[in-house]
Amino acid sequence: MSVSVTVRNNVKTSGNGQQPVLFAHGFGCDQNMWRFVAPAFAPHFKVVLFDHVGCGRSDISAYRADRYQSLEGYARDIVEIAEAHDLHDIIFVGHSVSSMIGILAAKFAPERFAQLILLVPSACYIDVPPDYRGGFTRADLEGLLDLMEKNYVGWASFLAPMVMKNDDQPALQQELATSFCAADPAIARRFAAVTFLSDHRHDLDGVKVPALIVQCSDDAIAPAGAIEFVHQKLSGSSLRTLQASGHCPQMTNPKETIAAINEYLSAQGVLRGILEQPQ
Amino acid sequence: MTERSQWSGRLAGCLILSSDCRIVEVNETVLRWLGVTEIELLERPLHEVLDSGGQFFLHSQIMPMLKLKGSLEEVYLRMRNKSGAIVPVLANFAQHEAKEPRIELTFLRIPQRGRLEDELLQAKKLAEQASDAKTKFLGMMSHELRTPLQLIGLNNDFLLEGGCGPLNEEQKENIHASQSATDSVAVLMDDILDFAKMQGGPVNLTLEPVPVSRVLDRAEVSVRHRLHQAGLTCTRRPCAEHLTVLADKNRLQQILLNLLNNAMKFTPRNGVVTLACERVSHRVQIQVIDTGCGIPPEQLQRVFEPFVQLTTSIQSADKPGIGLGLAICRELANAMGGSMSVESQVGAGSTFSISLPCAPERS
Repeated sequence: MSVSVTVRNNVKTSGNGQQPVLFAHGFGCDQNMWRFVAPAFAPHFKVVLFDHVGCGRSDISAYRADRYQSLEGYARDIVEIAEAHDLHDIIFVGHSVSSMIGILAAKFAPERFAQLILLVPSACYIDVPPDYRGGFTRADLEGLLDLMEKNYVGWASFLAPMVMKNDDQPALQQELATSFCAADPAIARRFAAVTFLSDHRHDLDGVKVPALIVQCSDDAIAPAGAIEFVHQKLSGSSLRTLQASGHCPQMTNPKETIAAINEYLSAQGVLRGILEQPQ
Repeated sequence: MTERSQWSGRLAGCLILSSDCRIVEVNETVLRWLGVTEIELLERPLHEVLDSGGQFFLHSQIMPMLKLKGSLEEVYLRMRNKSGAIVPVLANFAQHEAKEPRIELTFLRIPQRGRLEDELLQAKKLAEQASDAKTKFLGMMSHELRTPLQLIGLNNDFLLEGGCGPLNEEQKENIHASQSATDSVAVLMDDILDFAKMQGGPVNLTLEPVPVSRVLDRAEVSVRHRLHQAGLTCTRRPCAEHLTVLADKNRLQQILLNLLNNAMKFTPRNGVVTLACERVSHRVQIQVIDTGCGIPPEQLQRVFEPFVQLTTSIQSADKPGIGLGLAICRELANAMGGSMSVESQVGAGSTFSISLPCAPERS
């Protein structure tokens, strides 16, 4: 049975512009993670949000272990979203693992992508002696998988949609709030394994699309060395360091994140005007 | 630090973090668990007191979720004390939006529970592996057994057609008996194979509008002869001609035949088996009603579970089964967006109902 791409990935489009900005969420959440940032783009661009299969409100029955055993499957989904929605000249904004997914998608279909905005990317989370410092050992990351398993299985409620009892919230908002970062536990664990145990350094070669790399000042997941590696390998890429610390600047410091993207897109001649800052 | 003195004597560990996850307040309990002084802990990022998996988990999952949800409960984490030993904890997080946003954490230490859960997870993994192996084995075994069964069937046909010379009546009867036993085993094999397939992934279905009365006609015709042989009467309650369900017609037929076979198996001679159907809101309910021995209440809950065989006074060696039929029926009904249920009274009979969605009206 063929489920349409829009349903499969819960694709949502909005905004007043023509040129699409496609936001790809990272591991551990869903398209809600862009809620502080995406509205700024709506007056100028077509905003396209989606959930990776197994996350948020995607169609979990579309999950195929063989397709999603590597990031390529997720990248092919992005190309299919672009095809299904006839997206060209895409400004791709990817967080964390979705940075790599976006790079792969841009290699599969370079003609569709205009810019890659990569928030806190890492091509390989594991240290590879003698030169590469991903920040973690394999044992560290297996510890993460173990921890996830305990949190998902031991307390399945961790990923379940949360029941909120805020009767004063409008129905739509409440519905949104209850589904934040819901995910299928088994898929989330496999997604983590695919994400964090794989080495994508060689995929950085031959990327034709210009890129902005955004890093945080103190990121425990994507350390400076790992981000620097991506910057060096992506020819012609720009690097911007935020004051924000942590690994989710679009959530903790949306204003600074928007400003950095704004500056880059203006310099590239893509954006005429100013992205509106959230209140 | 009046606040701190309020919580210092508590058994729970408490921490207050700044919005960038640095520790700004800590109670005595946490200091004791970690074997550190307050000076050593303050201003340090929380992830420095977690194990490396926990660091990752904190930044990739907990922080985004906390930002969106405002609070998180029952998060399992592993802290590291000064000497490097793991302190397993269960943590609740709450975010306080204020001029200076704060994150409040409360922990309970759970060394015993942590160990127990490790064991449970290990047991779960082993059970899942065993279940996979069983499903694979069932699938393989059914295939392996089906081939010789087909061979026996072909040989029986060959003999009956006089391939080895003319047969007398007694010989023919014996071969018929052999073929009938072979057919029964083939049905069991099909059940096992079906069930194994269902365990292995979603059922392939072709959903289309199916006229209910036609399906009931077909089912009745297929079992009429055997009903008669078993001394049973089949009746039909009037069913609206136009009732149409959205279903896979072969799979629906399979469910009905299974239910009719069960009804025959458990209804004594001179009993009645009734087919009925009616529309209930946007669904159609199809029923197979018998006047058989009924199912005791304590077994009623379990009839749809795989490998459950009912123990009834009437069942005997001539009513073979492995307890998969109803489990398969329910899986199929569910896969078609329907459901199955049963009502029964011991000594009076059973009613098995399939509820399926109505097919959309043709515009």
